[in-house]
Amino acid sequence: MARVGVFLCHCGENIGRTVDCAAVTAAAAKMPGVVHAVDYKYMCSDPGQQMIKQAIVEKKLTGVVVGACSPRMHEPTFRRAAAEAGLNPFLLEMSNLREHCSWVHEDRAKATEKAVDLVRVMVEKVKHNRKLHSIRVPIEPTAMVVGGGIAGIQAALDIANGGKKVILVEKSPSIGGHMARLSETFPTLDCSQCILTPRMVEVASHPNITLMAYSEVESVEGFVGNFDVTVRKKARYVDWSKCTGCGDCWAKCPVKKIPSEFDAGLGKRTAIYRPFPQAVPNKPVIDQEHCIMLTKGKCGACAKACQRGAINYKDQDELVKIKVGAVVLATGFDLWDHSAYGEYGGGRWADVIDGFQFERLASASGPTDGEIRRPSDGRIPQTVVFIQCCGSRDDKMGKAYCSKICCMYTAKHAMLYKHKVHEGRAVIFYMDIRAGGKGYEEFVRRAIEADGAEYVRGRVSRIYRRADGKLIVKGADTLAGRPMTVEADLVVLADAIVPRTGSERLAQMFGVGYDTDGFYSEAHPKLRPVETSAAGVFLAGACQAPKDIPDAVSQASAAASKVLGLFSKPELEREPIIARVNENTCVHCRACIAACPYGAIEDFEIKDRKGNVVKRVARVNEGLCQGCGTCVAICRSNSIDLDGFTDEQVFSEIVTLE
Amino acid sequence: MLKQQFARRFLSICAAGLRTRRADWDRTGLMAETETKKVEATPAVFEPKIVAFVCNWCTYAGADLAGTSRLQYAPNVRIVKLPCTGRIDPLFILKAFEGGADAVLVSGCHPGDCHYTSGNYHARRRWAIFRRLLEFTGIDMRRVFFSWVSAAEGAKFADLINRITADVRAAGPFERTNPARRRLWK
Amino acid sequence: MEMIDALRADAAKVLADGRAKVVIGYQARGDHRAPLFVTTADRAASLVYDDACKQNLAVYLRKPEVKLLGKAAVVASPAAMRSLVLLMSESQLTGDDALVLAVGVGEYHGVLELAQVAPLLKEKYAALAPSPELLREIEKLAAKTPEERAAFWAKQFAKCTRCYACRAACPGCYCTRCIVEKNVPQWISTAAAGHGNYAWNVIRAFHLAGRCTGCGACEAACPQGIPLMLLNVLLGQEVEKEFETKAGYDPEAKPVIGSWNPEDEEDFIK
Repeated sequence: MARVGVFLCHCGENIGRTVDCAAVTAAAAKMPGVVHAVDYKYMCSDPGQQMIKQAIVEKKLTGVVVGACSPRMHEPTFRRAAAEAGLNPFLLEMSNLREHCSWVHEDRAKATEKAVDLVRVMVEKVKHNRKLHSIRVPIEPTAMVVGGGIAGIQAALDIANGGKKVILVEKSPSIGGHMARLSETFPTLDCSQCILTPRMVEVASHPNITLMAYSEVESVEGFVGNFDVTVRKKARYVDWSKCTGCGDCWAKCPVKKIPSEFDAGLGKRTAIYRPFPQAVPNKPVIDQEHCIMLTKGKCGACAKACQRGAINYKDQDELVKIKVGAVVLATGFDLWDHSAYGEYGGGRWADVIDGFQFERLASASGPTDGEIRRPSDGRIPQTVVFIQCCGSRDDKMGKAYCSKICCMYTAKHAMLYKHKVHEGRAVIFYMDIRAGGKGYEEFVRRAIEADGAEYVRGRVSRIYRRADGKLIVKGADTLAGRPMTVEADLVVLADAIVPRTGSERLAQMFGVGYDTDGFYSEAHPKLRPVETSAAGVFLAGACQAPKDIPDAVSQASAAASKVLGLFSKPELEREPIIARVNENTCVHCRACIAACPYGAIEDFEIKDRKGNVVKRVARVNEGLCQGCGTCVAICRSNSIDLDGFTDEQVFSEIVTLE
Repeated sequence: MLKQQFARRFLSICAAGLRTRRADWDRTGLMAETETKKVEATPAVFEPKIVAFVCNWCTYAGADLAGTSRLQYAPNVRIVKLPCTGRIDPLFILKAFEGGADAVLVSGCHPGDCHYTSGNYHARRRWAIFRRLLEFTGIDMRRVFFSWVSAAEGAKFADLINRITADVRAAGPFERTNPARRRLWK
Repeated sequence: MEMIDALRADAAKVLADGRAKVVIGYQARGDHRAPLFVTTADRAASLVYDDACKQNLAVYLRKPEVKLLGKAAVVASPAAMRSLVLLMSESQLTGDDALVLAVGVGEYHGVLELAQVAPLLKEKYAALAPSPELLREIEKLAAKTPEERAAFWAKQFAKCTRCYACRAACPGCYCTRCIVEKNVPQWISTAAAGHGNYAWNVIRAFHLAGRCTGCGACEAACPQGIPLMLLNVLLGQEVEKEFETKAGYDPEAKPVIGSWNPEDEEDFIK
């Protein structure tokens, strides 16, 4: 006989305000099979859990239903408590009385009625629950970090320093990401490359890190502890094992006018190139699209120049399959394309630039050697207008969210400009100044007070270019309540931060959720900020949301510690929610084998004692099965069932709802 | 006796009017919400019973988000949680109708978002066929709803439940015309 | 030579040669046509074949008592041949499990190995389609209101005595334990009435979606005259339209329900 205990949580007032918990408890006490029903203010608290544990022992419960918040929140908590009291954790179910009831209904009578239903359904389900035991799977203690920006670098170094192997996959020819392109960093104004490049070198030389630059993730199979990731090593046309990075090849390359991605189009590069002098690995690749040899079949200047014979025009993409136990996604961000804003020139004018272009102008290693010179004619601008929230906080044309870092970098830009052009004017149009962060507000104040940046609260309605090359910026000073016109030489737009193009495809491969803007979703907005809904896949940096460097680094270290935590045990305990085949009734039609998304169902031959095949059936590989249950619904004779969501359990739930 | 009944009825009508007005300026401003209020005080109006089969990773989480966002919706839905839409057997839908559900909702992850990579694609194909069969055998398609609701779409979930409740309420009880209903043909 | 003579000669020959131990064909019982299991060449002359042969003999290849007789040669119409291909695609038949005495439309194709069946079907019978009357009937029913359709099927399903003759006649219904016999939990009521009849007939049709080869044996077997082919053909047409596949032409085919395409119909999912 089932002996079910029902425990109802008021969640402070969160449930109790709308649901009459006492009435639900009274109703639960009368449900068949229920031998114990109580309510309590905070069931998840220590005394609350004690109540459950005590009742399990004293009332000899065979099943427990906790009516509280969403099981996505506290199911692990309560299952752990049940296990501590000696009850198999899978004999506990939760009714979602908060997210699915009290928070979404106002009518107390209706909400209470619904709550009773929700409890009744779970009471019936739990009577059919069976004891399940965790499945142990070995863990491959190697991590993959996707993305070699500062977040990826930090995660890789932390994991490697923790003693585990790391494979760092970077799409472009060098690691370093956006941080390598920055001039100085806020709020300390220390040189970005000076702090970053030693880290990059450390990555390259670390015995635990395998760097796969110029490579991309192609496909993913497997699951936490045992991912099989296929990485495409893109054709470099240069044998890096022979190359010394001497530079003879790019010096001889005749194609010299390709806009440099690293310099945000302000500088030029050759067809065989390394992105920047401090690149790691410091080896060139050939840009297939622009190389004359690869497009037209003649030239070969770089091959002639190379004394090591490292150039190989016949190089091909290579697919490498790698087994890893955990993955950190650190794919970073791009800038929103401001050409959607026709009123800001729609990307037509060379002197309306984005933040990265300004960084390159300000950088000592940039195309102007650190002098602020405007792109159109190379003159030093006397008035620079900075426009914040370009695409951010604009749900009509751009993005609804705040890009978080623009207030700070715009203040930094104004400051850098004023440090270089003392008599120049820096005018900043802003909506609000958001300078939350250590030393950030002080930094903005310094830009205003010490360096004389002119902050104007208001939006720019239009920019147009006068015949003399001046950019006429028409805006409004909303604090003074008057329109305002500035004759600028250079306009810098603080474009919104958006996820990298192609980040959705990567998310789909790893089974990670993403929001409508394409940022990866964390498992819980507050309490699980680096995990994802895909076990064993963690997030670091701006792929999850706009972040500045310290935030990205913190999250990267957090992700690394999660990976190390996962790797601290040789085996992984998995939820035993897996499918099982009833071999008596299976007729081996193979529909489930065709349908299984994981290839987890195999043919199996049942043999008699002499070794003759008596019957062929389908059999589930426990290590591969992820418990989706697709096979169960496909099986015509219902010869497969899914532990935790068995036909009996679902049947009793549906029947109870009558 | 009669007087008492009359008085009770009168009071309930007054209360209905008050509540309706309150809901009208309710911040959610949802029409369906307004209707719910009107309905609850008038016993003759029909409250549909909706059974929803949802996946754990998208729609269940989306419903959670509707909760954390405090979006109000009609209390007529009862959710049965499965790991994935791929687990949802047509038998579930039949059984729900057999048990007298006025409508059934099946909802999971958007294509490409399935936690199990392709369970929802399997489900989509299964439903495409099964709904034709249900329709052909006399189940009114205004009673069967399919939806993709992601974990980020709390508002979509709330709207969906309100819309279904309003639609099914307009369609009336399914009991009389439901071919799958238990004890229909005695 | 008459078609039937050729068939009888082939039957006698495969038995005499020992290529098959039993020939499964039809015999005449007055106007009725019953299956005949011929195990000796001299009895092959009792075989008949005409339009009255409604049963799909492919169904017997899966029966354990028939398997005991040894390798079979089965008389098969194009629809029954499609059933054989379906059984191959579902790993229920393999290469040398049986021979086929292939009776086509107006011609006889002789003795075939199982592997030769699909190519023959593709060459000669790719356009095999349900009868126009049946399609018209479906269209007419589909144009009615849901209430009218419910009433129509209520009347039809009310006749069902749950004898499961439809299931026994169907080569696709080869489960050793049918879903209706699963009693923990009992998804489908076995009482021959109301909701159980609805659920049984609907699920039977659904389990044949993308698998029914249109032989009509189920409807022919139904003692109550329930128009089961309306359901089977409806789903067959639907599968052909949406997923561009027809059951029983490709022994390597993936199950329609059990595979997917990113481009599948989804305008009904809001």
